[in-house]
Amino acid sequence: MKIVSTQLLIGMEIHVELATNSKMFTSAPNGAIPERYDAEPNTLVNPLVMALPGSLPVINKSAVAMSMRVGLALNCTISSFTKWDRKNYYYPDLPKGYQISQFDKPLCLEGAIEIEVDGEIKPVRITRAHLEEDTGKLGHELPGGGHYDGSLVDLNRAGTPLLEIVSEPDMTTADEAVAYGKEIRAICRFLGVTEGILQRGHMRFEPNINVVITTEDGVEHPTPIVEVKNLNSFKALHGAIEHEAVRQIEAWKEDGLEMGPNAKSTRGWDDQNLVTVMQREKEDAHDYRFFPDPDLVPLTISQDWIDEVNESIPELPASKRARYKNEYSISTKDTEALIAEPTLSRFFETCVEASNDPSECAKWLLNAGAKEANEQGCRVDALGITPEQIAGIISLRGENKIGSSAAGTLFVKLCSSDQTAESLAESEGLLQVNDENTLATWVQEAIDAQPQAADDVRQGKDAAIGRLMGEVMKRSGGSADAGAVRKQLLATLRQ
Amino acid sequence: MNTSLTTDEVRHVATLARLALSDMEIEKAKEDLSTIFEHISRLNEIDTTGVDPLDHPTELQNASRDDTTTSTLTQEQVLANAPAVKDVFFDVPKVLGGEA
Amino acid sequence: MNTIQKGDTYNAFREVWEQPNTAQNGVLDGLTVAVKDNIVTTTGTTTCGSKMLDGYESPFNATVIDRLLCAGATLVGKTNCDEFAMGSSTEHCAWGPVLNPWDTTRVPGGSSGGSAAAVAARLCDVALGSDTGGSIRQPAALCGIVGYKPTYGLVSRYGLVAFASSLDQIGAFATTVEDVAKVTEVMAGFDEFDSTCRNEPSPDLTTNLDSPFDTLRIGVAAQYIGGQNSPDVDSAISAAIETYRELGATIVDIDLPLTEVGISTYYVLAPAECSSNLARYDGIRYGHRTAKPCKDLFELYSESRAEGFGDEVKRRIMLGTYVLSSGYYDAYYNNALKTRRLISEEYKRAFEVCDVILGPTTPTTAFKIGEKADPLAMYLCDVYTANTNIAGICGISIPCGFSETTGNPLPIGLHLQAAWYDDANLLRVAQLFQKNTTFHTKTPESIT
Repeated sequence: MKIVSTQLLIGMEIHVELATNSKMFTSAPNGAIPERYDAEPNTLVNPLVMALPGSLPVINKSAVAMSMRVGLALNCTISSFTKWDRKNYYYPDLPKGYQISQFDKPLCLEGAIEIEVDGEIKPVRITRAHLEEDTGKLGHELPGGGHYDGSLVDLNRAGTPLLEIVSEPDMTTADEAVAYGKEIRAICRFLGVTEGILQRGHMRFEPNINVVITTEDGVEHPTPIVEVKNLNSFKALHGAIEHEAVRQIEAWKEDGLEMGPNAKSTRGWDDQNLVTVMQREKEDAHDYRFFPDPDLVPLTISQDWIDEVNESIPELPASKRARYKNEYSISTKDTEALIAEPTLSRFFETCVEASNDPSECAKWLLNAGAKEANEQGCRVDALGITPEQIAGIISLRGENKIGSSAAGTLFVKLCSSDQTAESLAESEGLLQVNDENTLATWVQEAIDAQPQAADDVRQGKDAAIGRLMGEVMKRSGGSADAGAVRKQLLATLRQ
Repeated sequence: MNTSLTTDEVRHVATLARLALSDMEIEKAKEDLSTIFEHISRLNEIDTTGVDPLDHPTELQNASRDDTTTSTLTQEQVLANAPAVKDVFFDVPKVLGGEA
Repeated sequence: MNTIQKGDTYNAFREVWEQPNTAQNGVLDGLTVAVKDNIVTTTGTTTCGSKMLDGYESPFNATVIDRLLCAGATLVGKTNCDEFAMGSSTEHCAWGPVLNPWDTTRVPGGSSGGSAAAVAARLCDVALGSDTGGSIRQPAALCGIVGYKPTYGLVSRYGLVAFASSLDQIGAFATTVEDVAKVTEVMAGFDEFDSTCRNEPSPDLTTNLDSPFDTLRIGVAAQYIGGQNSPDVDSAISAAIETYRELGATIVDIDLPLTEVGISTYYVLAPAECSSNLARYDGIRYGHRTAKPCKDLFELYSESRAEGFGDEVKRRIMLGTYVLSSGYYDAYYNNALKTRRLISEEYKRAFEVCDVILGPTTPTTAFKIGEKADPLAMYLCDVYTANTNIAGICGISIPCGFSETTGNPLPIGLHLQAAWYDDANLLRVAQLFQKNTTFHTKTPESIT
């Protein structure tokens, strides 16, 4: 039967490692915060983390509060009653032989966010977000290099609080899925619940993908759902979806299999060959034997607690985007660059408060600031320059008291100075000279030094003026006001 | 309710529970479990319509802790009881992918 | 060889320690305490009576152990138990069966059989046990001593190797109510490491132990009398009722129709939790790993676990796995949770009309080693004790008589149950009986 159309459907599960101080169910240190990124293997371990006999879990209140922040930011309802369940399966990275998760009473329910793709706004519904714990890691490389044939178990990551955000299958292209993933990442980063470093596995994406194939008889054939596990880059997410979009149609043409019970399968992403590969057939056949964890008691969440958490939620990317565009008149490109880093956007806003000139602030941070930060290997907001100093530069430029290249020099110098922009510019001799007498002396000296160029200008060759201006600038040490110099030169040579 | 288990069911349960049982042990387990289930099935004589399940006997709630850290085990302690250790890791024979 | 080792002809102890008392002038100064082998200690090893944990050394102490040490108790060693506390006879122990000091051809009960035998043989003053469906009270009854299971949540489970987390509770054995009260008072109270431990300080269990009662209503359920009980047990219980009546108590008839279905409920809930609690024994971080070459992880797990666990543990793991598996969860597990609420409510109603419930701890006295080869027959030993755990209330077994029909006198236990956190009253009622009887002063002839 001929295919007349196909429709890709994507739902997404996103795992976010929460940056709490301690683990989800015990006071062992959590490795998902910067000071512990490079902890030695098996050093973030206590009796519960390695599931020693007799150890017991106790809920980390902060992890719950962080999850509530995310839930509220995603416009979810926070459950007033939530409980903990065990998901039973065996794997060497799962010390207890079960994962503590939330099965039928998740913390957050039914939210939605908007994503933007090619200028179009689209809502994505959030089914639920629940708290669970991360597993340890299986490696095959020995410290100092060298492949090991067996598996090496490191439990540092085991027990890290993990928030799983599950969406409805509301996305229809790989671009939309990536936009959704990026938006969730941005929201989580603004909420301060994770640094969101994908290479470190702070966020993992698991798209659930299928295609609805319509044949010429008007019948719709949904292909079996494929879950692609553990994608930790947007490139992989995009690639896996694009690959499935094609593969599933081809598979359907061959086997005609449709969605139904016992038809869901799990695949992985091979980023060498850019294909998805089968990991497990019949996902439903997997019997996790969920049941309420008898070592934990339910958690009730009061409206007071919800209100308290709600008040702590900062302005989120979507609102910033709108504000930067409408209030600040900043370009989309600059806006995206500014909100890419929560700390940068906060720094930017403080600069705007100090200077009242959003577009100049954006320009300084994204050009001089970004360049210097790159050289120093730090973030723009950590360069040492203050919003007041940046406002100072902007105002010196506005009043034409400093030239553009001198302003650039001033920016760099202010990064290691406590002085105001004006006083440092002055002490460093960076302020522009537009005193007529001084300029006249330099102009005369330049004409004397470049007689040929002077003649050319006299005869109307404007191009030659550059050489003369260069002479003036050399003499002024860059402090001469270029506009004024040009005016003087022309006045002198073409009286 | 039919309470006797089939050999396949017992095998499936042993697989889920990661217990290697010989054919004889499977048959013995089938017998024992069927007898036990016959008794357990008296549960179904109790009318539980409209009754909420009771997970915890004392219905305690809201035990939680502040987000502070305490001391960890040393690497040495972590690995002390392990049947096999490689470098500073637990050593597991080669995994050929997929779930255990 | 020290005196304990010399006197232990019952295999009560798995290991005996000789260590000095670390705290001086504590309330438990001079008291010798044995520890069931499923409570972790940094001293010695903790094996849970299983090959799986042969030689296992815990890097931390159970909360109760730290508290006992702080109070000046002298810990004397680890006592044998049924593997992972699953059993009612202490025959299912990887280190051999424990013998009953009253008749060494008979079982001491279980699963805390080693602890019960140690106290019955006067090898130590107190022994710790754990009670999931009767594992303290039943062996106490069979060994003629006091065994007390506190209300769920009174004593921290941190460091108790979990069998069934929502049922397990640590408790104590001694020859007197006074001693179990004293030790439990030290062990009880909030523990930040156990979410299921009540957030209250330890209750006062000792001050009013001897206070007289203004009124005392003792409930007796028809379901506890006759039936499968041996006549000796029934007559000892009747005599106990008479004793209380003479001491001024009012005897109240109560109805506990869910007594029998308790066993069915228990043998769904406990195995379900156990199947998950014992999943961690996979031979990777600790515990037994097979020496056989394995072709994959599945085989490594399955062989290691099959070799490490004994038959009874395997049976319960399979039972629990089955009742939680897809398609059976509602029929078994969820239904058992609903029945659990009904049992709990049944007790609530009973405690509106009486202060404590009285009955036998076990239907019969100690049985012969090997007598109950059929697992179900063994399970039925818990008929009077399992519901206490299912509802989470407190219970105690105290000596109330002896059966003389079988040659050696065999002890009979009186089971008293009280409402949630009414532990102080439960102990007072038990103390009243003990003050006016001498059963607890008798010692087995086998003691040398």
